[in-house]
Amino acid sequence: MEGKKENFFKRYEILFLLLLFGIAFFIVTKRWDLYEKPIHRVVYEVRAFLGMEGTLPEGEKSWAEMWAEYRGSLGKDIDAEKEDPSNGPGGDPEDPLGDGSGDSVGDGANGQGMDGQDMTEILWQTVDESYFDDALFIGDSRIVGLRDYGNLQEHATFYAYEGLNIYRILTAKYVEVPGQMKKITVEEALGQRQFGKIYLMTGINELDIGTTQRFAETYGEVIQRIHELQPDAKIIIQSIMLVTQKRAEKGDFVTNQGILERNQALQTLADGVTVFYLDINEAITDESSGMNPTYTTDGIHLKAKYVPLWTEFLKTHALP
Amino acid sequence: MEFSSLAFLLYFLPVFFLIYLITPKSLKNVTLIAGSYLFYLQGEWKYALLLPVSMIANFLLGKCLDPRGKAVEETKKKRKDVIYLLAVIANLAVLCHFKLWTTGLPLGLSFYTFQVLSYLIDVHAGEIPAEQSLIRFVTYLGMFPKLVSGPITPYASLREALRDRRIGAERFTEGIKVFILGLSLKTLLADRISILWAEVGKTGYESVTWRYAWLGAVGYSMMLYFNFYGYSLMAVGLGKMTGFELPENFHLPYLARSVRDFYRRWHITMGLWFRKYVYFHLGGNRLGEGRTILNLLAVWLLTGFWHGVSANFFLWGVFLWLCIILERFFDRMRFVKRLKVLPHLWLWFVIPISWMLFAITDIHELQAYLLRMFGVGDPINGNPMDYLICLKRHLIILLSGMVCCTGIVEAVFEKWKKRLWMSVLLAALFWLCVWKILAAGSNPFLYLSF
Repeated sequence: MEGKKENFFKRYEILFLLLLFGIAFFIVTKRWDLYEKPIHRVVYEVRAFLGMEGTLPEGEKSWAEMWAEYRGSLGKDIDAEKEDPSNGPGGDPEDPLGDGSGDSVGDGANGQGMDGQDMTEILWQTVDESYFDDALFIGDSRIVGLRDYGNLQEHATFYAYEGLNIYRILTAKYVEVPGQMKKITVEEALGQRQFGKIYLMTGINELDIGTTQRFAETYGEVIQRIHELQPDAKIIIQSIMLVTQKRAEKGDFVTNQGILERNQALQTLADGVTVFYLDINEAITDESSGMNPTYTTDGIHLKAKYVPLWTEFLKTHALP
Repeated sequence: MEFSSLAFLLYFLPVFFLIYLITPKSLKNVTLIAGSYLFYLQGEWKYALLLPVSMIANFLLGKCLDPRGKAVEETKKKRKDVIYLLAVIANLAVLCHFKLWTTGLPLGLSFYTFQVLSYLIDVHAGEIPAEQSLIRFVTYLGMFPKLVSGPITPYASLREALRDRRIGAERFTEGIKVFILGLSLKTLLADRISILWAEVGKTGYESVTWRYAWLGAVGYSMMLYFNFYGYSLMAVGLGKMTGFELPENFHLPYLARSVRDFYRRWHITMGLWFRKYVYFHLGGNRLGEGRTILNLLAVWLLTGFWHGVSANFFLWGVFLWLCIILERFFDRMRFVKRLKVLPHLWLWFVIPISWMLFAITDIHELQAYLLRMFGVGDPINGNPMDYLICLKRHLIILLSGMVCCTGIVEAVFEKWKKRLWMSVLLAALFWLCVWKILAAGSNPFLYLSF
């Protein structure tokens, strides 16, 4: 009996191990919702089938609703009288962002009391590369592209990595220290060397994190912290670069609508004294009001060949 | 639903096999069909009826083509030939229709069509008897382990198992292990290496140095291999778990010594299919050198067409054909047989080039890339250090990939697959893969963040 039992465990050891490690996995990652949600849903659907009341987690559609939507998409003329499926609960993708736009953004941004920069006030200058000798660029993969292909390597300094977002911009360790293996945070790096201009660009990775309001608030806090560390530096907020129309319509969180909304919020952070807003999209959009598709392969990043457009734009939009 | 998706790994896999294993033997095929259809619907709503209708039609056609049984009169034989011809044409027409006039093929149609054709041809030739049970026939064609991307499995090799199969603890657990091995290759290697290739695209093909272009080509070659090999292993593993022995699809292709050798090791089941049903039908190599070369051209053009209808796949087929002709020519010289290293270098030179022909569907982009690979002209606004940046980011994964191309992983697995530590390792790998997929899924850009 004993031997048989052992044999049984031995034979199916991989299953037991998978189960064991699975439990450990869920305990560590706290992702019980991966199973809890579908079970909740099945229970809900069964109850609904039996005519009982129940609730689904917010933003989720029941099978009946999905079915109605599917039938609706088959052709409006077939069941024209059917109600518009987009009116269903959770059907409006803009809803979570809706509260972020408008005046509320500026209020909580930071303590600098900025009312937004009047774009007409700034007389942009045209300069050569040496203007960027005391410039620092901080940002996401778009800034990585500028670093690698913007022909500014010999002049400007770059603190950038793919996937950066505003919530990690100061605290993630990604600034390389010459001659050392370790990396330090921007906060630490800014304590070591003073810059004249600090250009920022981030915002696309975090399009699905938090509301526009929270994004702009955090951005404001970051600017304030940079200002504390670099009191003499001008801080230039570069607009979040738009993506191509095609990429924007792919169906995930990367939409030009979302980008424009956040850019609008970013504009209000500028005061025209130490903090400025620079709309990079003038340089790279076409009449579709998205990124020009010839400039990019993936719809998001400028190809190396076209990064100089950005550099040229920066050179013709220097601060007086 | 992909094998390497959370929906498959966390929900479909456990629920299906729980039901499948407690299903009585006589109903296992029905359970498998039901599960496969659910699996299929997850990925293909639009053509939900295409495969079922086609399967029933082909089942009836197969029965009607079977030359066995009663002595067949001459007129009836002629009628059968006509039906046979129409059946083959109809199946090909469906495939061509979707290949030529629609964007996006119904899920698995290419693989499905090849298996149906092999079945009809073999039945008509009297090689195999027609399947008499619709349930078994649909199980053969529709079983989810091989429904989407093969392996292209001949009916004859599954015939017995469709009737009667024993799953048993040993086979089932080995299936799990093979599945996890494939999942790991796909998730931990292929998906990671794909970042390298995506970065080359991000930079723009006209701007890369020749070194970076070659790194990209090598990266793509590995990504494609681990993707498809990993998938095929998962299919074989799932096959074992359901009680079938599906054929091996890859056998260390990058260790081959010639392009011909390579394609005996790469996507083996497709190579065999083309060999049997195209090359041999055209006469193979029995009709003289000139005819052999033409037959090979036909095979490679069709292989290109099967992969996609655009100029680059045509070039891909012609390029491989040229390489093979060249190899045939050199094979006549004696000293070539004694070479040890050169054949490998030749392979590692031409195969990445061929994969670029395969990968880049825009002909102008393709031209730009090939020019960069051969260092013709200067990269436009390139970074002369780009290959170093690339190596710095991807050296470890490239080296790991190379090691995994040598067959060491397979050898270790074969030797110690029954040990406890191997089970521990594989179970850990499974959840590591789930974690990776989860991380990439909640933020699709973790792999490719901006």
